[in-house]
Amino acid sequence: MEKELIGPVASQKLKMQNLRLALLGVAWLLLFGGWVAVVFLFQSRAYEYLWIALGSLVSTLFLAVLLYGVLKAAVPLWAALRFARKVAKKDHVLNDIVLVCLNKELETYEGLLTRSVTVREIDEGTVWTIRYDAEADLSLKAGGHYAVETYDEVLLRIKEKE
Amino acid sequence: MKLRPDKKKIKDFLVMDGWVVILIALVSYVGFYWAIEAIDSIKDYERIDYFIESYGLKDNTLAEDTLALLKENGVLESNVYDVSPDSSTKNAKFARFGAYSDICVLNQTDLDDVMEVIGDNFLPLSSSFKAGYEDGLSKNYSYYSAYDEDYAIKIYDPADVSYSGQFTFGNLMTFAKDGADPEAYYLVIPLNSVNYGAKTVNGFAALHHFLKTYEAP
Repeated sequence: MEKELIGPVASQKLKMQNLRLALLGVAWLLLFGGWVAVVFLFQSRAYEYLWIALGSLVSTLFLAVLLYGVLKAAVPLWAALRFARKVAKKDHVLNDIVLVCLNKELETYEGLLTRSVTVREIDEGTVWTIRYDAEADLSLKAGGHYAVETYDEVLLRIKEKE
Repeated sequence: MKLRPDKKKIKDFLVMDGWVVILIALVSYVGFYWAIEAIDSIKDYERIDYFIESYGLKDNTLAEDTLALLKENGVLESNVYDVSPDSSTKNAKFARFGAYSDICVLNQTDLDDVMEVIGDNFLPLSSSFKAGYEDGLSKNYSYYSAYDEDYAIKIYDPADVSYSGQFTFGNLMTFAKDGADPEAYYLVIPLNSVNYGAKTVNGFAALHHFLKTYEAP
């Protein structure tokens, strides 16, 4: 198993995701604008309160979904892009490690939701913690032997060793 | 990065940011309520209002009759506001209701008080204006004139019984009160009314109907 979590290929994917998300956001806003226009075009005195209720209910749904998109998709994505840009300009650390244990806690690091693993460096025996993207699809095993590339104790690339 | 929503993310979002969603719902409701109410509220050109200064209105169906008469012409509301000549809130009531009404009845004293600025408050009753409501009226109306223009239609004169006898306005309003000096009453058209050609001509129909209703048989 070899995986790049943060790097040129991952950055490219993030940029594509960002573009798709921006397009989706614009489309959603246009749809919302269309709905508001429909309300004001079709509202009538006879059904005034029905249109007020319908208008505010559907608008709340539109805006709640938009808020969800910003908070749960755009903000973490932008944080990941920012971090990827920062990492690209810095020196990375390469180590061979043995994974001591998988930690359950989630932690936010520079806007990224991360998990952590405790590892022991094979050469010097130093034990420390490495964070990685909480949503990364990694099948890590305690006792496993890995080659890791990190920056500021954040996992950028990992390769399982035989 | 996984951006697709899943149950856990949605649940987290609702738990952590549910208050923002509630706030959005409230703001959204207030926004739509305010905007749609503003659009749907009854406008000046959909309303015929009367402001009558007298010592008491009698039972009447003036507002209902006006609505029935002009409903097909887009009138949705009619109100009758009244104020006593000796009320301490007379000026405030006139400023709030009278100045924006379509047909206004004032006594001689009040009309004399505003005589110098009568053109700033009331429409002059020019011949073309009179042509808008006179057709079908059968009585001889006198007018209150200022600056060579007629401004008000006299509807009651305590000093001229034969003139007042042409009308039955006494069935609607009370012109006299014990201890108060008898006064003449006039009908004026506030300048702010939009129903005499500015937006609609419903004011002419209402005025004609009002005068015709109280002409003596």
